[in-house]
Amino acid sequence: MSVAVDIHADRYLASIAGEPHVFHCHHYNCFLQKSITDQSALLDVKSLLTDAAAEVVYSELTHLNAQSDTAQVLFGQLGFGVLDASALTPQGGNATVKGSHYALGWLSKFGKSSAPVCFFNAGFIEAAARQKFGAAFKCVETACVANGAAACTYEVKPGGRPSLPASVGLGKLTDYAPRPAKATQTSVDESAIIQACGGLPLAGTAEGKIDAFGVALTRQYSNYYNLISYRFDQQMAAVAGEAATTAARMLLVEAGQVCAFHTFGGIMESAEWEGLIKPMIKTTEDWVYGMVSVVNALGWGRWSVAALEPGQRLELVVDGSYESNGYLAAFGSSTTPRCHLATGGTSGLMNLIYHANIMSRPALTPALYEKTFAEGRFFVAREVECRTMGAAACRFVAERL
Amino acid sequence: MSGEALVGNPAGLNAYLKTVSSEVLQHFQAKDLFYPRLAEQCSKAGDAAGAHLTRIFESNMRVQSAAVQRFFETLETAPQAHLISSFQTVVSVIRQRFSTEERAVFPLYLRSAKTLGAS
Repeated sequence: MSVAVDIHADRYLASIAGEPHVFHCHHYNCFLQKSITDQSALLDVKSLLTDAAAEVVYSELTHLNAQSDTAQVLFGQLGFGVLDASALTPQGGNATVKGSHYALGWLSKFGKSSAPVCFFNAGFIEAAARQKFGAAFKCVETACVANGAAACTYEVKPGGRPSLPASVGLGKLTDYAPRPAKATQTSVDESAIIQACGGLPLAGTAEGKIDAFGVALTRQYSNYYNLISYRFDQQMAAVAGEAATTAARMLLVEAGQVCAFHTFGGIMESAEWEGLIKPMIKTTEDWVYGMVSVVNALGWGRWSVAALEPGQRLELVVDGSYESNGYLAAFGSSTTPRCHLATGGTSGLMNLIYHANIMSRPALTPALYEKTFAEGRFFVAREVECRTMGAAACRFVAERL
Repeated sequence: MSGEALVGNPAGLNAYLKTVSSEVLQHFQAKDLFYPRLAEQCSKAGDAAGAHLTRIFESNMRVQSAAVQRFFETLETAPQAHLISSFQTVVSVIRQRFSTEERAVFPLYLRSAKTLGAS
């Protein structure tokens, strides 16, 4: 049994029961989470991370009219591990997750944690209990593999928020303008890559894992990223003003850059890249096009190269970015750019290709990441137009510093 | 920044940048020293949040400082063709940094200085 994924090919998005999903790997998932949990002196980070998960998962399970084991199937299919919530009753109880993506990802990136880290899982289980029993619950992870436990264990109790805010679903969608001329000036066949990626086994195995492109992938909820990122920004502003919100945005862009370094880098060093994309590549610039083509299979919206000055400058146009779709629907318009992941992704992409020389297949270690920004002339990116500020599409520029 | 008037003249821009290099680098070195001191001042003032946020800024700004320093240090050797685009990026980054400091960082300094002055 699996849950159907709807592919919105015209918008480069994917959804399940109206809830958008995007592929991201453990590097981004764990780094983004750590960027938030590092601020625990200022914020209630546990609620921030768990509540958002509960909201988006509950919305999806409700729209799916989920049956008894749907949540467990979905959890594994999305790459989060193997969930056993069979012991839950209307009075609550315990659930377990084997092979938790967040716990294992955290261990591999940061080592042993001083506390449980699977906040997303707790929100997922809370949502599953709410949907199954039609009542309010709250869920806390009581033992975590990342914290040294043998298994990730969750305690579910009646209570918590009486109801959950409705998810914005696919968000505020828009019609896409024709792609810039530069977008297709390459020997890389984007449609063939998207089609090939669609044929890859990108659903969780029996162990609830999606091991592809050399990384541990998840098909995560777009609105989970959006809610935790933008609420993080909001709550930082509320507790500590302009300094805090500025710092929050720096951290969110950094998370995008880390994502690009490890995820894009992992993809460009993977067997899938070697087999599917590398045969199409004739120039260094084609590496940019190849990666943009893969991004267009991840459900992030439509990325297009608008200008590319080899080794110097990249301009990307993103139509219907999942960040802007979600922000506009959940938070309204903005006076500042909001596509932090894509901003970090743009600089990360150029740094990998023209600065860190990904073509030589370096080991993508934290040390290499540090070195990339400590030596030579690295790339910085900014979002120069954003849909949340009224633009028709989001536009990013990466330039050498 | 009057160097922007020279973006059509790489040789002139190069010569101009050499004249301001020392002053710019001193400014950034002073800023690099400012951040840890600000964090310490926030801590002394009992502003744990300010100290915490200052450390986030410090790590981000230090990477920028080093990059700006490298730009000026390589004026002699960097290809002339790339000077203009690099200069424009450096200007953009410096502007954004100054704006961030004025909006977000210096108020932390003023707040903690006021607390310490009042105590």
